[in-house]
Amino acid sequence: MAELGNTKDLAVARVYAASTLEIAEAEKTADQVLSELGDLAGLVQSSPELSDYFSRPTVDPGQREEALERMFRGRCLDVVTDLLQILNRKGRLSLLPAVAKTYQQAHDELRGRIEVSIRSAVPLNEAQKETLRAWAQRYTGKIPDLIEGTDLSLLAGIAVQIEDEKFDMSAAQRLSGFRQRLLDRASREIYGGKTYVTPTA
Amino acid sequence: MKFKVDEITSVIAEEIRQYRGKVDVAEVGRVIEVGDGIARVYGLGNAMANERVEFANGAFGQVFNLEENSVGIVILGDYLGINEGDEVRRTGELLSVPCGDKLVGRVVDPLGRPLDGKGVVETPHRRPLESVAPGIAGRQPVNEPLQTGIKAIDSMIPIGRGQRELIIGDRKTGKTAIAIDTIINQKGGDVMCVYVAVGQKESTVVSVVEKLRECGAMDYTIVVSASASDPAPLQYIAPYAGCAMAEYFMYRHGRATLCIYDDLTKQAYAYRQLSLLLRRPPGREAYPGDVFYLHSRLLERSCKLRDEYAVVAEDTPQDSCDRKLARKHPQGLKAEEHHRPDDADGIYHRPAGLEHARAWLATLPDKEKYKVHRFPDSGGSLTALPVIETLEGEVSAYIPTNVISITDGQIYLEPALFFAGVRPAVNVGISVSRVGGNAQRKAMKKITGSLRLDLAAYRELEAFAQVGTEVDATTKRQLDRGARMVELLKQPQYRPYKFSDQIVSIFAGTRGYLDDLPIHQVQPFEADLLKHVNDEYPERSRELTETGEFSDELQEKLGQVIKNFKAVWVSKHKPEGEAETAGDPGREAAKKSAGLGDGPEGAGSAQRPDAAGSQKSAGPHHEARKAAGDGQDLIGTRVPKSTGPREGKSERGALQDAGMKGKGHG
Repeated sequence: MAELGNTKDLAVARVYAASTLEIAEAEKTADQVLSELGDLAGLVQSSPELSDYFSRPTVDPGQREEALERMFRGRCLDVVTDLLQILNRKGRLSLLPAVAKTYQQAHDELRGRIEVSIRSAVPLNEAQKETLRAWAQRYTGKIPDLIEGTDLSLLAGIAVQIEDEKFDMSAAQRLSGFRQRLLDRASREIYGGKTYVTPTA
Repeated sequence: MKFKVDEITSVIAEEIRQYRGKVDVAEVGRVIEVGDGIARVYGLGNAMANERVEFANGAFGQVFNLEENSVGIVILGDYLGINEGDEVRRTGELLSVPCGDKLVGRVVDPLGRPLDGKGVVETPHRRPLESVAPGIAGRQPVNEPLQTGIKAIDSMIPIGRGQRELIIGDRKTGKTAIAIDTIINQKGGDVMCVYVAVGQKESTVVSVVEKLRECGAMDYTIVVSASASDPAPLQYIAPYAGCAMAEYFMYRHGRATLCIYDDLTKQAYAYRQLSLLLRRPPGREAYPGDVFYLHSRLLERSCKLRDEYAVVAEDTPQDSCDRKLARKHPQGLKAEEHHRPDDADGIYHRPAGLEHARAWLATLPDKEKYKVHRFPDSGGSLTALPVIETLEGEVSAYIPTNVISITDGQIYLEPALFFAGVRPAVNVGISVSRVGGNAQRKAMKKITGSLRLDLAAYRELEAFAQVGTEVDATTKRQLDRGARMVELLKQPQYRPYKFSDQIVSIFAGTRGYLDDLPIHQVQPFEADLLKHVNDEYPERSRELTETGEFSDELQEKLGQVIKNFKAVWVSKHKPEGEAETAGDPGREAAKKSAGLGDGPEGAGSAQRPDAAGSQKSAGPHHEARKAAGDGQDLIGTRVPKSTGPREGKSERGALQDAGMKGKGHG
C-alpha cells in the first residue's frame, strides 16, 4: 500500500480527495464521507488480505469492480462507493489510505479546523488541555483538534506541533540548550588558553 | 591530571544563574527519504531556496529543490546518521561560512570546520556562501598586474588583479604547479591567497599544504579542502566557500586576493551527481541545464572594485571608511565638470576620480582644512585562477568550453610539451590573456613585444629542422632564437622568479645575447647572469622592481653588462674538444623537442646549473666587472655586493645534495 510519506502519491491522492470533497460538500454529506473514508482506510490497513486484494494487479479489474459493488453499495454513501470504483478503474485503489488522509486535511481546512499534536512527559488533565486548546485557537485562528501523546524522553514539560511549527517547552530541550552553552563556553575558554585542569607530576 | 573543581563549579553556577529558559520555536519537517547525500523532507512549507536546515543528528543541509509537498535537501555532513522520520528544522538563514583573519594559515572544510587539528576557528565574521557579484558601477578595469613568478606567463599571458584566468590541460601537465607557484610568489606582497581543493586526494592536499608551509606561504593563505572522500554536497559548495572567504578581505579591507579553484571539473561532477539524485532533468552529458550558471555565478564574483575617494577634513584618520565624512559638492554652485564627484554623496570613483577630487580641492578657499582621502575598503580585487582538467586534450568538451567562455583568458598546458621537457608546458600559441598588456608593467611590455612572434615563427619552422633541410640564414636565426627562448622559458617548480630577474632574463633572450650559446648552456648562463646582476647591481634590480620602468639608457647599460659577463662566462665554460658553438643549435633543439635527438636537455629535464657551474660563476662575476671597468655599474656609483644572494643558491646547493636535480613543473 502507498506510504503516506510518498509525496508523489500524496499529490495524486490530493486530487481525488479534493474532487470527492467538492461533491460531498454539495450533497451536504462531507462529514459522513470523512467518517466512512477513515473507517475504510483503517480497515484496509488492518487487513493484509484486503490490502493485497486491492493492490494486486493480477486481479481482474472487472471482477474487483463487481466485488466492490457487492461489498460497499448500500453500506456506504454512494459517493464513497463511486470513489472506490473510480480508483479501481484507474488502478489507484492502493492510494485509499492516502486519499482518506488528504480528504481529512482538506475537510479540516474547509471547516477551519487544524490538527495540534501535543506530547507531554505525563498525561494532561482536562484543565491543561483546555488551556492548550484555547491558546492554539488564539494562535491559529482555527478550531484545534488536539492529538495527545506521552513521551518520557521530554522529562518534563510539553512539546506542541501545529503543522510545520513546533513549540518545545520540555525540560529535555532546555537541558540540551544549557549543555550546548556550556560546551561552547568551554570550547572558547580552552582554545583561549584557559583550562579546567592542571597537570600533576 | 587534577581538575580545578572550584573553577568548573563556579562556571556552572554562573551559567545557571544567567540561564533564561525560552520556548524553542522552530519550523520542522520530517525525513521521508534519505541516501547518497540527499534527503527528501515532508513539510517545511516556508523553506527558502538555499536555506540552511538542521537535522536531528546535528548535520546541516541546504535546501536544493522546492516541490509541492516536500523539499529536496543536500546534506552537508554525515548522512549515515539520518533516518526516515527524523526531524529537520529550518534555521531561517542562508548557508554562510566563517571568514576573517583567524582563518589565515588554516586548512578548513567548506563549512569552515578545521581539518588541520589546530582547534576551532574562532571568528565573529561570516559571509553568505552565495552573494551577488558587484555590478558594472562597482568595478573598475583591471590595470594592476598579479605576478605569478613564471616567466612564460608573466611575459606573454599576463594576469591582472581582478581577472579570471583559466588553467586548462590534461591530467599531470602541471596545472596545480602553476597555481602553487603563483601563491608562493606572493610572499612579501599584499595579496591574500585562498586555495580550494575540490575532489582531490587527501595525500595531494597534504603535500600542497606542506610545500606552502615550507615556502612560508601559509602566512597569507587559506586552504579549503573538499577531498574525493567527502560527500558531493561539500565538493559542490567548496569553491563558493573559498570565494566567500576571499571576498571578506576584498570588501572589508580593500585588499587584493587570489582564489584558486582546483578544480572546477570535479565540482561539475559533484553538481551533476546531486542534480540527478534530486531528479532534476539531465541535459548534455547528463549535466543539469544550469551547469553554466554553476560556474558563471562563481567566477563573476571575481573583480577589481572601484577605488573611492572623497574630500574630507584634514584630521580624518587614514583608515576611516565612513562615507558620511565626504564633503559634498555645494548645491547650486556651477562647478566645472572635472570637479564634480561621481556620486551625489560626494564620492569620487576610480583613478580618474582622484584627479577630479584633487582639482576640486585646489579650488576650495579653505583647502588647507581638507585633503583627498582614499577609503581603504575600496579598490580591492579578487583574482580567480580556475583549473579545468580535460580528457585527451579535448578543449571543445562541454565543461571546458563553458568555462573558457566565462573567463578572461586561458593558460593551456600540453602533455606533448610536458614530456618534451618544456615545463611549464604552456602552449603560448593558444594561451591568451584578454586583459593583456593592461596588466603588464611597462618594463615587461617593452621587452616582450616580439616574444610571441619569435616563438610562433619558431614553431612554424620547426618542421624544417626536423626533416634536416638546409635553411637560409634568416630561418636559421629564427630557429636559433626560438630554441633558446624555449629553453629560457623553462623553469623549475617552486622557484618563482622575481620581476627584475624576469626582465633581465627575457631581455637577454629577446635581444639575441643567447643566440650563439649552445642550448644546454642557456640555463646555466641565465642562472649565473642573474646572480651576477643581483650581487653586483642590487639597487638597480630593486629600482626595476619598484618602478617597473625600463628606460632606454638602462637597457643599454644592461646590454653592456650582459655582453661583458658573457664574454667571461663563455671562456670559462668552453668545453674542451668541442666547438665554441654548436653547428646548428636551433636545428638540434628542434630535433630534440620533436624527440629525435638526445642530450642533456632531452625529455624530462629542466636542469638547474650543477655545483661545478655555480662555483665557476664566482669568477666570472668579478671578471665581468673588471672588464666593464672599476667604478662602473648599470647607472651611477659602484654598490657593495649584496648580502643576500638569490635564495636559489643555497637551495640549489641543498637540492643538489639531496640529489634532486632536474625537477621541473609537473
